[in-house]
Amino acid sequence: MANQDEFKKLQELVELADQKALSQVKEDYLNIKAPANLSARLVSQIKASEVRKPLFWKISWMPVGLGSVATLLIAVLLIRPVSNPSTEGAFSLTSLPSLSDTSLYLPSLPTYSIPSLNEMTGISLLPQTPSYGNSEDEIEKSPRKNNTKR
Amino acid sequence: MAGDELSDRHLIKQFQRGDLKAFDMFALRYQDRLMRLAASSLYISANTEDAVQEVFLRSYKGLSGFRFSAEPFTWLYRTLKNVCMEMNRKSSGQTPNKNAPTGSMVEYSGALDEELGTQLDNERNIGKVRAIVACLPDQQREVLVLRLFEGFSIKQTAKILGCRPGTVKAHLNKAMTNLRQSPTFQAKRKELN
Repeated sequence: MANQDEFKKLQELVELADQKALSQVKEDYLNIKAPANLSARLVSQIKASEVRKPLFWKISWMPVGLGSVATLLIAVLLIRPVSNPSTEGAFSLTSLPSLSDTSLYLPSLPTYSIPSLNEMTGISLLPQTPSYGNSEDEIEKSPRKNNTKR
Repeated sequence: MAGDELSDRHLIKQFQRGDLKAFDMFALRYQDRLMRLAASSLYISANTEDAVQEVFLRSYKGLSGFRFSAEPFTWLYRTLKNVCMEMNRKSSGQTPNKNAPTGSMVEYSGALDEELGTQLDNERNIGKVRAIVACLPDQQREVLVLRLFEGFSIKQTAKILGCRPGTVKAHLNKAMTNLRQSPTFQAKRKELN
């Protein structure tokens, strides 16, 4: 019994010491205070953040704006007519040559006039069209006229 | 707490209507408590003020849309917890607070102005508390600080931490066991006896 009492007393002493130490730590803890100028600094920080707010708002919307502008620009470049003298020399999708311009992919051939071809080949390439006697000589030589003379 | 809760609600509603003084009062009410809680959570005591400021900045932005689904202090505490976690993660490469002011520095503070003296006292107190609670895991430390130091009931602590009262009791029990075994706490006990 005496041992038990001693053990209880010892336990109580230990608990008391624990409580004392703990209350000392609690006291130190509760002595931690916010600095007096904290709220003043807070107000200045809030004001600064509010000043920055529009800029942040702009920056956050900037990618969207840039994206739409870029899309619009590409659309305008694609729709624009092919030959635009103002953009000559500058690279753009529309400055590329069109397929109708055959000189770009067909070799250039020598061109001869029909009389010169006639001379070269000895064959008349001109179509043999009948004459209807428009000139005076031809009227005289025409068979109908001859018949009437007869 | 109930009266506080009502007036907190009132202040937040006033702030939501555009009254900035209400926010100032709200901040003044909680700045000391947040400072203490931040001091017990952060690895580097120099970050304490920055953490509290960051919490108030976030609350300034967040309280305008606050819908009272949680108690204001619970919301503030969770914001503080997030801020402290971020700061601890950033400062994980740096060494923990080992350069707490010594006695000679505190004596010298008598020659300095009052503000600096308070700051040095704060640093010293933070250093002492941190030395004791640093041995505990995060959850046990949180429970110990909220229940024993801040004086919240088991139920309130459970609500703030988002767990059951039984969990709080279990953590508290483990925290006390760990604390008794820690060399710093034993030294403190010997110092007092």
